[in-house]
Formats: sequence, C-alpha cells, structure tokens
Amino acid sequence: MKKFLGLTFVVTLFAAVSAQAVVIHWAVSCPNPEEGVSAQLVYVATGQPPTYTATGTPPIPGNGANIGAVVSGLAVSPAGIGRQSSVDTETRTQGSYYIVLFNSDKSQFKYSTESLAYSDTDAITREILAPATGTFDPACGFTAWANVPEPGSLALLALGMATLALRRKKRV
Amino acid sequence: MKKILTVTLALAAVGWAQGAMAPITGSNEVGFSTVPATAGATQIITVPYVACLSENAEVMLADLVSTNGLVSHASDPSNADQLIVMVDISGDLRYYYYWLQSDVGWTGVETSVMHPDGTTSSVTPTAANAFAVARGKGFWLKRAATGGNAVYVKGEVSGTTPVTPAITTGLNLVGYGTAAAVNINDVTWSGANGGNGNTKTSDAIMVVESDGSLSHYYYFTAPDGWPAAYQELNGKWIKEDYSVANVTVPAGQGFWYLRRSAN
Repeated sequence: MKKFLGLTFVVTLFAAVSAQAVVIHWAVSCPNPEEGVSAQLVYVATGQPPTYTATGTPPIPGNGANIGAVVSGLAVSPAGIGRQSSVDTETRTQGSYYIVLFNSDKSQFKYSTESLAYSDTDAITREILAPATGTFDPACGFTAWANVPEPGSLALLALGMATLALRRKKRV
Repeated sequence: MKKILTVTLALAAVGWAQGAMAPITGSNEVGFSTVPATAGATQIITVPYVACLSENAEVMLADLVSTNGLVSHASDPSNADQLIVMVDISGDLRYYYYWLQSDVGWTGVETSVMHPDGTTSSVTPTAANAFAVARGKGFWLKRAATGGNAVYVKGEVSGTTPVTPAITTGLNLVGYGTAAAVNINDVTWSGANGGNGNTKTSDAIMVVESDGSLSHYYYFTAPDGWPAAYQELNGKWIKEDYSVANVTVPAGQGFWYLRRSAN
C-alpha cells in the first residue's frame, strides 16, 4: 500500500512537471541587421534544420512548428535582436529549436547554424522558482538566404512529378 | 453625606492626576498591506516594513506574513501555505521551505540536495522565528489550493527610506521597500546596467503574473548614434518589443532582479 502511494505520488509529480509549458530565451547579437528583417523561433522534432514548403504569414516550417510570435520592429535594433521569452506549450521529449530570419517580404529565409536542444537548462526554464539566466544566441551564425517556395511553383512541381510518374507507369 | 464628600474628593484627585500626566505619544506607524497571491499559485512577497517598536532591528521570517488569510494544516504541508526562501550558502543558492502548521506556525521542511558528484545531503532550514529578512528582500509564498487570492504583510513603517538591498550578479529576490505600489519606471535605479543596447546584455526584472507566468523587463540605455526612437527609451525599463514597460508592482509584492554585471 505504502509502495503504491509512493508510486502514485511520483506519477502525479511527473505529470505535473511534464504538463508545464517551457520558456525559451533567445536573442541574436549580430550588429546592424538588414532593414526589415524579422525573426521566429522554430521547433523541429528531428533536430534537423527547418524546411519551408509554402509561404504564409508567418511561413510555417513543413517539418516543425513556430514557437511564439514573429519578432520585428524596434526589437531588431542596431545591436541585433534583443532577448526574447517564447513559450512552448507542448511537452518535448526530443528535438531542437532554431532561430529563423525572414527578409522584409518574408519571401526569403535563413536559419541559425546552431540549434538549442530541447533539454537545455541554461536558456530553457520550466518553473518560476528557477528562471533561466542564459540565452540561446547564435550571434551571426546563419545560413545564406534561401527562397521560401511559393504555392504556385509548388503546385507546378507536384504536377510535373505526377506526369513523370504516369508516363513511367505507361511504359511499364 | 460624608461618603459623598469622600467620593467627590477621590474623583477630583483622579482628575487632577490625569491633567498633570504628560500624554504618551510616539512616532510608530503600523503598516498592513494586501498582496495579491492567487490560490494554488506562487508569488514573490517582500515586506516593506521593519519590526514593530524596534526601528532598524532585523525582522524575523515568522513575523512577516500575517496569519489572516493564510491556510494552515495539522499534518500535510501540501495542503498548507508555504514560504520558500532563497539562501546563499557559500555561493551556492538554495531554497529553505516552510509550511504553516496549525497551532505551531511556520515549520521548516528538511530537503535533500543532490551535488554534482551524485552524492546527496539534507538541508535543514533555520527556524522561521530566527531567520532574519532584511527590508527589501523577497521570498516566495506558495498558496494552498484552498487559499484565497490575497495575503497580508505587516510591520512598522520605516522612518528611513529608501531601502538599498544588496543586488549581486545573477538572480536576486527583492522588492521595493515602501508601503505603496510602485511603477518600476518611477523609481530611481542607481547602478542598473543597460548593457550595449541589446537586452540580452541588460539587467532584467521578472514579475510574477496572476497566471503564474513571469513577465520580463529590461533596463535600457541607448548607445550614442542610435535612432531617435531608441533615445526616447534611454534610462527606462522596456518590454521585449522595445516599448516602455508600464508595470506597477503592488506594495508587498517582490520580483526577480537578474543582475548581469556591475557597470
């Protein structure tokens, strides 16, 4: 009975902890960012870099999820992007967070070459009794700009692939 | 007749004695503040008062929070209000836990601490009635689920203001040492660190909201040559979107102060 009670307590405690949202602190201390740049924190379960399949406002990664709001305006200062606190309400047991930058019309993106593990305890916090003092900051470590595919070109690509597959099937 | 005369004389004597006595007066002013603290949530409390009838004396933790509005329990700490105090033991920050035991008062909880080498040791808190808390220092109040949404702090209004709690590099639990609500941008913060303009390098204040989340505010100093929009924020606490923080902290409520480094 005592063992059962102990187990119940542990399970309850685990459920209480795992159900909690986490706060991820991030910044980009890269001076003089390009005009109109905005930023978004992104979670990818595989830990691989985010990929985009269609534009949106904001663009949504095909292999992950946006965390928090897009950061723009005065927060993108001459000294880079100030410290942000983005809340992830999902319980993560794997994967990583990336910072994605978008150009002014969000037609291009680039992502941080460094990622933040879901289990990091320096920049991610789970409780207010022990707030995180660290910050995930890739500084100027970002990939080159790449185009966010537009829905129109994606549809053409899909049509081309389907035609190719059909022709191969006919030959066989 | 003789009896009436005696009584009259006695009354006259009392009246004369009262008239001759100097009135007892004092400058002591007792303070009592209501602090919002939601049931089932955790809030930072700070006591802007000093110990009654002992100006400048240290206030003991057990005397700070009024029992009015608090939840006690005979045997179960999880069903009682709890005080959590951060202590610095040789540079190692730890928490002391106390719970409100019925007919006993704030009772310390022995906790276990795991060290980097995997070993554990137990931590026995200092008795609450011997734990001195300086004015302006903060501590946590974890409300029981059955509690109300407010608690009360009490003491004597200090004749010496302002308070200057020591703020060290890293996390500090502090509060404003006066018995009035205060907007963080109406306070003179001498020595606050604005960093290089990127709030990652600035001192931060974290205030507990009613839903249990923390709101972050950063001290900003505009570097020379930055656009006018940033110069307007110079010397102010700002939000993460670089707008001015309009935050009023109730009397008796504390906050986290994250000190980056000395200027």
